[in-house]
Amino acid sequence: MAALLAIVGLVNLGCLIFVLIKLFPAEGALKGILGIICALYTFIWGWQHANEYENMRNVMIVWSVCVVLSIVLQTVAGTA
Amino acid sequence: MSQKLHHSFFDWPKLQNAIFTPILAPVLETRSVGIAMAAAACVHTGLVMVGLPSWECPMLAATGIPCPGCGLSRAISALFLGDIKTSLKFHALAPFFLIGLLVMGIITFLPDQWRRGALLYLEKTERQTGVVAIFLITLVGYWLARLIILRSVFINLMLG
Repeated sequence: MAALLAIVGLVNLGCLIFVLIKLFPAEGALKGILGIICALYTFIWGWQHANEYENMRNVMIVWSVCVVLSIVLQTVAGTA
Repeated sequence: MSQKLHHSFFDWPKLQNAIFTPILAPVLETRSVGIAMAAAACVHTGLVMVGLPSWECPMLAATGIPCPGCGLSRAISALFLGDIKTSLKFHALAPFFLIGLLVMGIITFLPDQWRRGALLYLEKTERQTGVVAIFLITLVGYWLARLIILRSVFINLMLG
């Protein structure tokens, strides 16, 4: 379970970095910092601009699945 | 040459322009973004308050190193429960972040004509004071200080 959570965590981080790389030049450094502090903002920004960048939609789908998966896995790990 | 190099490193007008450029107001311009952020923040804080799993920090989960915003949810939950000491332990800037969230929530759910006025006022305030930018820079400074000075305590607190 821990290994699965770690893999999901890594994919989560990869998706966050992918979106941050697009966010920094598009919105500037300070909104980029906001994106690091508040991954939720990056997540929403990613969905807002899903059609504007190549592969963004796919990355956002993977990230969304990972977020749900991570919550489910945490719940299962907590109750097990 | 050195003067030119110095100028490129400390381009004060550019830095000043970045600091006094509105950050929060443009984010809240689209009501749906505000609603999504407010709803997600409420659900997330609620889940943290009752001790249920919620949105995990991707950086902390993958690397074990807390991000500048790590601890804010737990600190805000503690603030809601009236436990100021615990809140400060998790994140000293949580009260300011909570004020920001409240401002965001209020502006998002205002009727259209009031919302427009509130957004203009927020934009003007950000342009004049650079308050959000200064807060973000302070947040990064606070995170660096915790990571360098109280490294193990900070990481254990966030992982625990």
